[in-house]
Amino acid sequence: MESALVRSCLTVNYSGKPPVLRDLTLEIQPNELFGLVGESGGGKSTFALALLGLLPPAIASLSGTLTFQHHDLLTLPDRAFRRLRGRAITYVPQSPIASLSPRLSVAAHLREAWLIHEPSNSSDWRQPSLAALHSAQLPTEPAFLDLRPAALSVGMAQRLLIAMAILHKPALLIADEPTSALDLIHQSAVLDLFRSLRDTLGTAVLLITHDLHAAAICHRVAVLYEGSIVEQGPPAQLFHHPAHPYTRALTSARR
Amino acid sequence: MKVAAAVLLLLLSLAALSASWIAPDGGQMQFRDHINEPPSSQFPLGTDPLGRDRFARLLSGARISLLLAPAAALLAVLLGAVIGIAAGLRSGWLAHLLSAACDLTLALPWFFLLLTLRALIPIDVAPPVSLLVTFALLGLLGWAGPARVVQAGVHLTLRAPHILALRARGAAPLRVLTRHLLPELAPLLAGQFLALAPVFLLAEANLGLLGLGVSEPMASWGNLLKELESVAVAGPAALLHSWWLLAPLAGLLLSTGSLFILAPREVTP
Amino acid sequence: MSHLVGLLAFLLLAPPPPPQRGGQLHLAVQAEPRSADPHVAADEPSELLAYLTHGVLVRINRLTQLPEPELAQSWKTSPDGKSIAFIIRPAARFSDGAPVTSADVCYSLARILEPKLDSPNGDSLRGAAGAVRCAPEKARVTIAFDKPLASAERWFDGIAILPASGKEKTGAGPFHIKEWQPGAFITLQRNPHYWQRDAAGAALPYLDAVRLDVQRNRDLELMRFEKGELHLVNNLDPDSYNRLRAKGASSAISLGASLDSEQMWFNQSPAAPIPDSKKGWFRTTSFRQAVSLAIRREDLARVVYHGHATPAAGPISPANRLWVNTSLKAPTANPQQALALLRREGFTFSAGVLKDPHGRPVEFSIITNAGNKSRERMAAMIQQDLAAIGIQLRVAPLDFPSLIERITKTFDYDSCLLGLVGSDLDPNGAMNVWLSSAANHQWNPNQKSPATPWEAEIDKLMQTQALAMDPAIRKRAFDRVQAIVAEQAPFIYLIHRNSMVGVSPRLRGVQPALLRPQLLWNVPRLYLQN
Repeated sequence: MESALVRSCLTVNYSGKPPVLRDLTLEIQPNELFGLVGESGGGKSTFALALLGLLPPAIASLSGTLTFQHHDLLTLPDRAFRRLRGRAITYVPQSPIASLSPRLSVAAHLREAWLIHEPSNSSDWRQPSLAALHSAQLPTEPAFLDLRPAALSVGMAQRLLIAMAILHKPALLIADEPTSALDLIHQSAVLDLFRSLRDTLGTAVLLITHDLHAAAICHRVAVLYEGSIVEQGPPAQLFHHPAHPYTRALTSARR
Repeated sequence: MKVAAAVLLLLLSLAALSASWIAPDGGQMQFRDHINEPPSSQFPLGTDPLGRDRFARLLSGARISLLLAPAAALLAVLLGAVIGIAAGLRSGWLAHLLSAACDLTLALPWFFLLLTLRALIPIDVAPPVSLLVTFALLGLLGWAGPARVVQAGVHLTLRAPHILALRARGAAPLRVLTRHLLPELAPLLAGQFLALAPVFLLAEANLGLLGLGVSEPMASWGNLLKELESVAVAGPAALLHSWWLLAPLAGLLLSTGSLFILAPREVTP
Repeated sequence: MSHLVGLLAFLLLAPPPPPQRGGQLHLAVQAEPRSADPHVAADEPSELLAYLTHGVLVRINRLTQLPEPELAQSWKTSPDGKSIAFIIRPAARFSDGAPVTSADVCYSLARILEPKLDSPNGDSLRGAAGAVRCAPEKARVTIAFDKPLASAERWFDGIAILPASGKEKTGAGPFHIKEWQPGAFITLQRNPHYWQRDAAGAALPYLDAVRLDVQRNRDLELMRFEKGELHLVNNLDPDSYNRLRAKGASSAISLGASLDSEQMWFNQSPAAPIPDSKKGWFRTTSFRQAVSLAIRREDLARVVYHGHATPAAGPISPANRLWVNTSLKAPTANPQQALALLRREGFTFSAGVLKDPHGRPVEFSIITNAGNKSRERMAAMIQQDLAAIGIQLRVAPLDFPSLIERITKTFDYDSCLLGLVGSDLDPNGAMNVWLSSAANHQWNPNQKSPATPWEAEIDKLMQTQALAMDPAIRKRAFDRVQAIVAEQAPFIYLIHRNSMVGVSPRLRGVQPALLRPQLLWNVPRLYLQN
């Protein structure tokens, strides 16, 4: 188990209120498709932000353990964390359109995402960006590069966010509710995309969702309920032999 | 529209700059046999109660008002932006301190502070100096309003998903601030500027009551506009009979209107 | 000219129509009278109410400004000025019909002098006369003072006679209070027992009633006057006056110069934290005279007051007929003469700039109370007038408290433009201005000993007039004071505002006077014509 990518036994509370996460215990292996399933507001996004080091320091207090590779994320200095963020750990947020800067074109987004981690190779952004667009199944012609977020569909905006997330070949990609903004056809397409990215890039994917069925593509799924993992295992096991009442409720609820 | 506004502003500025050529005395000469006269070929906008050329006063007043009021507004907005952004970015004691300073500034009895200040400035300070002091003061004291708005704007922008996404890509705070926050706050700052400039223009006229500001015999749009008060008291009919008194108001509306049209706007999705 | 002769002939030959009896005179007061007790009246509405409802021994005729018998039919002062004897008019009656007696006089005098009452008139009489003794004997009453009083009879214009029975609402004036609705109005009814009769022997007053409406808003007051609801209005401003005039009605009357004056002065206080060079200018008589000569007073009156002001010659308005020094004339602006005066002191004038003997350009500031449009305009005009002799004047309007602070405490100012409201005719009322030791000696207050020979002379003259019993001696002394002030120009008097009133064409018998109550002073003889 020394080779685990993420190891967590995390408690988070905000401003002294009852914890949002309490001893959230899980491990994510390299190149694993890992699903974190739970209801909205159940602390899934808090866990994602903890992994990114973006919980507001003034009000959030973290305790327990949270490691990524050999880094202790709870004590990692801000500057070092910034080098991980967007390069080794990347993030595909929910609400794709709103997560793009309205003033910037597709090219400007990619260029900035490249420059943040490769300031010395400022002119080299184009080739890896086109490759990332290609991997995210987006067009690469100049006309597309000049579009602004307002001109993109939700699906395209999400793929652009994915393209930026794989630009630096991350070890872990966190996808926060990637299916919630999409219709059923696009949902399965984007899930297929994550699976192929894992296969081609060797990246681990943490898929955060409230939909147990979307997590069916994962190798392993953890069920988060009231801040703790109540059950985890291969999706087939959870579907057919749910142990916890909450998991049972999840399997029977189909949107 | 923007072209028309720019041309209008340019014309206004040119007229203001040529004031010293059109009206070399700055509209200060009293023609005591021509009191309160309606427009004529000699006085295109008539004369004031002391027999001074209203047109010349409008032009020379434009120099003061169109230059100094915007300058003071700019100063106030810049200060407000720096303080507001600092308070908005930081959480913890600095934010509390700045926020408290902001509240205090907004709540202070400025009237009495200005009185004290008047007492500190020598009475026979030359008019141009008192002018600069007045507008510098307006600029320095006017920061709290913009700071409050900017702080709220920063909070709102920082919570926006695209800023979170940007930070998740590893962007340093400085990059977030200069490349994203500032450009996105620009319409907000421009709005504050546009709101403050006319306010300062009028505030200058009211500071005259405290012996601060533009003193006799200099003309400013503020004290020209103040003359309108007495006409307004006499009722709307009086205004119809002496429409030329509205010239400074028209100047104010035209110049702020053009600025408004030229100001940056939010990108509409 | 022939028109005038014809008019005169008409007036002389045509028998005047007999005055009409009855009717209610309707006017407005700007505030509710504070008190119905005439002895404590200090505000204008209370004083008016006291004037209309109470009798006094002696009345100052507001037109001639001379004392006339009222409830006393005659009086006699002792040569040393330490006593006065009145004979009470047999016909004098209170509104309840009771006769006015010498006992009532002594009762009223004792009451007004009682320190606990806090009567303004009583307090100043006590201050001037010391102890007062009153001896009633039938219709005669003799009043003796510890200290001599000049023109002692004039004090009794301000002492209402109340019945010794203690009914302070009962008076011996032409009217008595019938109804008082606080905040709304007061109606007064004719006193049927009032002593005065007209030339034909008919009982006065002609009017049946007077109604005083409490009306704070002057614009509304003017509107009601124009509609004919009110019969008279006092203190018109130039704009209102011109408006009434423009309507063609003859109802607006200008009475000429009022007692009020507008003046500027230079700060001569040694304590002033201003440069010595400036102090030097301000203490130079020729400098002050030159400034005075450079100011175009007739322009101030014409431009700022639309002609409703009179250029001032000296401290006393021509409205104060008894005391004004008529030999003084308002200076005519003469920049050349002003420059000549300055050159004699070593000042130089070239390229539009006046420089003092040390080569310093002459610049100073003038403070005035901000928001007073007339003063701000006058200051701007003086600015241009002084520019003509090379002086740069800076106008600094200040809020009133700051201004008072500067002229009375810190003395941090160069010169000041302010007005003085004249109320007291007698020079004794202005002792606190003219004595060099006085607090209101604005240009250099509270001096331990007179700073200049001319101030020493004014001190002496003011004391002379205060002690003298002979009116001629007093007048000579005060004439000299006015001449010194006009010459030395410690106060540079600019203008006297004119007093303007509005009178309904229906109201007859009006003899407008500058002294309060301007239009009502002869109220027994006023009547309304239908």
